[in-house]
Amino acid sequence: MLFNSWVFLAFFCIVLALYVLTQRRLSWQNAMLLIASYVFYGWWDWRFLGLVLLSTVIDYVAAIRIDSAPNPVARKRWLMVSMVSNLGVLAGFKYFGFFVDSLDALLHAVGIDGALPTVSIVLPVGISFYTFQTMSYTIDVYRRELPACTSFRDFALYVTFFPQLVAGPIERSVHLLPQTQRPRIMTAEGIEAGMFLCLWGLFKKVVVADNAATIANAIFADPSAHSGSALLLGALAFTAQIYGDFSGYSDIARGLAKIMGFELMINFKLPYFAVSPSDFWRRWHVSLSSWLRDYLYIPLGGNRGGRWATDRNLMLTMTLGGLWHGAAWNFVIWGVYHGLLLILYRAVGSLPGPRLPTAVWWADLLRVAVMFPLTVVGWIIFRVGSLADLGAFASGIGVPSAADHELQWAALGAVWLPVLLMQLAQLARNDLLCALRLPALLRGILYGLLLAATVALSTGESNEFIYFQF
Amino acid sequence: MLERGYEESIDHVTRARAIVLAVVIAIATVIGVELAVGAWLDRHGTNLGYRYIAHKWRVLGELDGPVDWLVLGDSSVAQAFDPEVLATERGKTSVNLGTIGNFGATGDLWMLEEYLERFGAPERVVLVHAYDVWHRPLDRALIGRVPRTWATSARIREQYEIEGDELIELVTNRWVRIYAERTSIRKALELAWWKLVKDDDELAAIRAADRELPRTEPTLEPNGFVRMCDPIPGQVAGDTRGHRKFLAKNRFRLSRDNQDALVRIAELAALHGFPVDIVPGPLYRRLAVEDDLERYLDAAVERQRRLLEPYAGVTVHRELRAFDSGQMQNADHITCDAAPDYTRWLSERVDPG
Repeated sequence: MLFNSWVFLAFFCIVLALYVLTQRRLSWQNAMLLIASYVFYGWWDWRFLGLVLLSTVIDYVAAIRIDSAPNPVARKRWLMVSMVSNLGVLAGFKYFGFFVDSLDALLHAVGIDGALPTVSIVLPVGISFYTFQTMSYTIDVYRRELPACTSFRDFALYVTFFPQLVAGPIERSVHLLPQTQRPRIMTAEGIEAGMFLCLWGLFKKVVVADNAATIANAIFADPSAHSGSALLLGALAFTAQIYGDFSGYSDIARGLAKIMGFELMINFKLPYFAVSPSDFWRRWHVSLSSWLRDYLYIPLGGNRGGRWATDRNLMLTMTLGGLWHGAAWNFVIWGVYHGLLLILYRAVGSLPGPRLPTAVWWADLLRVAVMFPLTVVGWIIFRVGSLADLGAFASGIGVPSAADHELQWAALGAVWLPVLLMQLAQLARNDLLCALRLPALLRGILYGLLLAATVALSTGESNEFIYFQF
Repeated sequence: MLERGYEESIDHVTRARAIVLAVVIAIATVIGVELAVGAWLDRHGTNLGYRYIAHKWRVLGELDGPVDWLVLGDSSVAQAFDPEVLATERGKTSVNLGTIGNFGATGDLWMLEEYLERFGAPERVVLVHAYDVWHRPLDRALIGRVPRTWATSARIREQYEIEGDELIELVTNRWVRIYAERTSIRKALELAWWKLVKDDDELAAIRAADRELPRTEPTLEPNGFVRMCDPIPGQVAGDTRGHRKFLAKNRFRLSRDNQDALVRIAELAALHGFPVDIVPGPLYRRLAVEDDLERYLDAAVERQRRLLEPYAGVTVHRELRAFDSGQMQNADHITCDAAPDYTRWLSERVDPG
């Protein structure tokens, strides 16, 4: 069930009506939300429900056992049960085929063919998101950051809460779980903010991402057949697409939750205004980058072990972060690339000599002007279908060529312009919801125009969100 | 400076009344956009068929008095019959209400019914269709393009058994044009962009390369005549190949929708006492002399004559008027230079006196 579908609109209207009707009984309301979340997830394929239920049961039991364990050894044993189960599910469904294929390719290279069977496993939608969410819960309980949840219903709702189940934000238990355990209050502010986030997210998905996708797909399908300027266009189109797609989904997820009185974490904070790689990761997919920081980078030692250890930890974290996105080598390379950027910036930052001033607009603009192309290069690595395509981009993108794809350049500019204007306003007001500060008349016109543009400029296909595959 | 943009605040108090106001204004804005886009598409949309439909129903709605001849049919006659020529040469007033082939005779019937209701019987009704439209069923989705409230009524839905996806399409075509015509909106925006940055020759090349863009822009005249003046011989040749394939594969068939509409038109003619002439639209000369075409046309005329035999005053004409490729835009649409010739021929054919 896609957010950008009529079925989902009908589904949410029904859920919202039932939500309001059960407002006085938290237990009923949570039960209703849980059932709705299972319906939402089962809509893709009801067989996947077994997996999410299994993950829920394991972490529910493991956390209670950790909490009540008589000694540290028992605590650790139950933590391992949770980790091995979650990572096992992830490895089995998401990475097994990749490793078998890679091994097969390696054997082929040394002259051994057909040694391994072809493996084709269906990837359950959103598996990376909910396994990371449940793992963070067990680790938090292990770290005594919160007590184990004794209500299976509330915990299951935390795991499967439908707005964020399949593509995040990856919520922390300390943030979302308490919200399932206390009555939520629907306020006028929350409802309007939620409506705005849904509209803005839908606009970013349907108008920006889907239209940019038609440009990017055509160019990435065969990079070697395109000119330098076309390759640049393709790269920028994908840059717009992936931002519109993923931040659009996050906005809708947060908006839906907000309407019901829930607060989900902000997942995107104007990432293309990042001034450095570390700043980029504070702004892009914040729920994943902070997860990797708290549950991987810091436990590895973070920056406490000197320069080389820090660089190693950064590289390891970013490589695994890349692999989280998908079982393919380009995601691994993308992770390594971002790891290298982080290391490089740290190295340059530690050099003696003059520096650009901080908190000065032109210096920040210069930093953005350096960081943005580096981000785009990362997206090329992320998007290409093969190493040969990556080679075609690397050799062709800088080559001057006659202007072509004029219409596509204009179209990309046209769909990106409203996003840029909104972001400049958000930046100027230091408020991602600055649109809500407009007078009611202007807000109404803005909402109407967003809705009309979303309807009129949709590509007509109910396109899936990119991050569903992760 | 760019350390900003991290926050999100809903501290600014919103009153429920302000939200309601914003929502009401949002709905009004969407309706305003829908109306504005609809009006824009009616005049600048890239789907010429939809523009013809909108224009012809507007012409009918704005008609301030009866005319002598009511000319109905598809786009072949829309470009071929010029009421000015008829007025000059025969002293007859007329209006050209030809729309598009997929409406068939049903569209003719609806326009005739509205005309009769407002002005009573005309002196003559002429139906002109390209030979190859009679087998087509009425395109249900097109009904929503008729700018009349009855188009989405229960009566129409029941009569044409419209339900499910067809019903959604019908309703969106009528009331949510920003959704139903999004392809047309996209193409119209593209065309507007090209007009801005390209000269005439480059624009012509772009139009020629993109099948979704009209090759030339029509002038939609207040009497319903669609003035299209640029011959496109290359398109005539390509289109003729398509016609040949159609003729080789198909025998004449009259669709149920067209049959019902023709009978109803004949009944109305008998009831109100006006003659009806059914005439083939213009055709490319080389196609017109082919045996397959002759056979097909013979069968069409024979079937229609048999169907309408019980009704007095209905004449089905067999003869057609052929043109050279230099006077045509495709195999059955002529240019404005050829329109006087066709108009003259048509008037002499249906009213030799």
